[in-house]
Amino acid sequence: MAKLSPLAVPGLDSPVHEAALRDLRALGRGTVRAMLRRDYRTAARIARWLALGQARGLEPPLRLAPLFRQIRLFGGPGARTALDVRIGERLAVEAER
Amino acid sequence: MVLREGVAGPGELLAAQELLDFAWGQLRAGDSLFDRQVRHPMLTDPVELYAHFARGGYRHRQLDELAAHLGSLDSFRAIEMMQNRRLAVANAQRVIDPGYRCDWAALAADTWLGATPEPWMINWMTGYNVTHTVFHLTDWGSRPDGLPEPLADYLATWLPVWADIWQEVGQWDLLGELLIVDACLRQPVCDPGSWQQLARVQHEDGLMPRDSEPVSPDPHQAFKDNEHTAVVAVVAGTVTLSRSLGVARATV
Repeated sequence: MAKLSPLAVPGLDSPVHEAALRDLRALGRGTVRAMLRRDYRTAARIARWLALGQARGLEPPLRLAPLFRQIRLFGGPGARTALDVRIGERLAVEAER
Repeated sequence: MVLREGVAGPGELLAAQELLDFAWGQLRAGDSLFDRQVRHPMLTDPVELYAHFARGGYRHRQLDELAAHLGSLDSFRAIEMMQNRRLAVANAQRVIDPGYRCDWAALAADTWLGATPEPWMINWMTGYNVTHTVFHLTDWGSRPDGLPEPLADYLATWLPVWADIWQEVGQWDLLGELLIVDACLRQPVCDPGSWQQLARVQHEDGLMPRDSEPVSPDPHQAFKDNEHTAVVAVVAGTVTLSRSLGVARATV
């Protein structure tokens, strides 16, 4: 799911999206595993799916705002990670509207 | 634990009994604990240690009275310590005297686990704080209901992740404790493969290494370095086997 994270954008639907959003708990676990491995790049990618789920009214097993903030502060200078965090944060904010 | 659960073979049960007998003798049948508690009334370790013997049927009347008295003091209950240690003392009091009363919900809520916090913000020490919190709330698995529902749900989600991670870095001692937690839940959630991993790292002579660092060739040093993991492995194996066999738990 991390590799497919570019698909985690609003307005797209597919069997991949359905599969992802069916098991937010598994995605949450994947995100936490990545975080604990200090693999922030992967964590951000997986968390985009959680953010997409939240944007669609589902409840992720993790609070996303602090998670993305943590990745932003700890995740190093990579542009790709920064992009995934920014998109994830925007998606997560969408849900609060 | 081995005697309480009763799922070990006759050789192991005998060894457990002999070990308790020996230890109780070393403690002068409890007099050493009593003397220590009277000398240092605001230490909690005599009560904590006595509870394990009381559980096994080794009672010391004056210690019982002393534990009850200390438990009745606001000061003793409010001694400053780690939150999970406070639960240890409370459970010890409860084992010594099943009539012991305290606000379990408040004690649980006060721990790291009780906050059900971000599962990605955890470290090795906090991992142990979590395991101990569960041990004491559930009395080492004999009271699964002792774990508040939100904490049980939280663990059901995140315990497998923590077990995976610490297994990845070879922290066998902590992994063993997390597997004890797994056996304290209503349903286990961790990967049984973790048990196979522990079996793989166990030495020929039975030594359970605490981590993936080389074990000292000096047998005395090796024992000191890894003795904790021996206890963890015995408790983990015992409680897990007992739960998997579906043995009904006593309330005391």
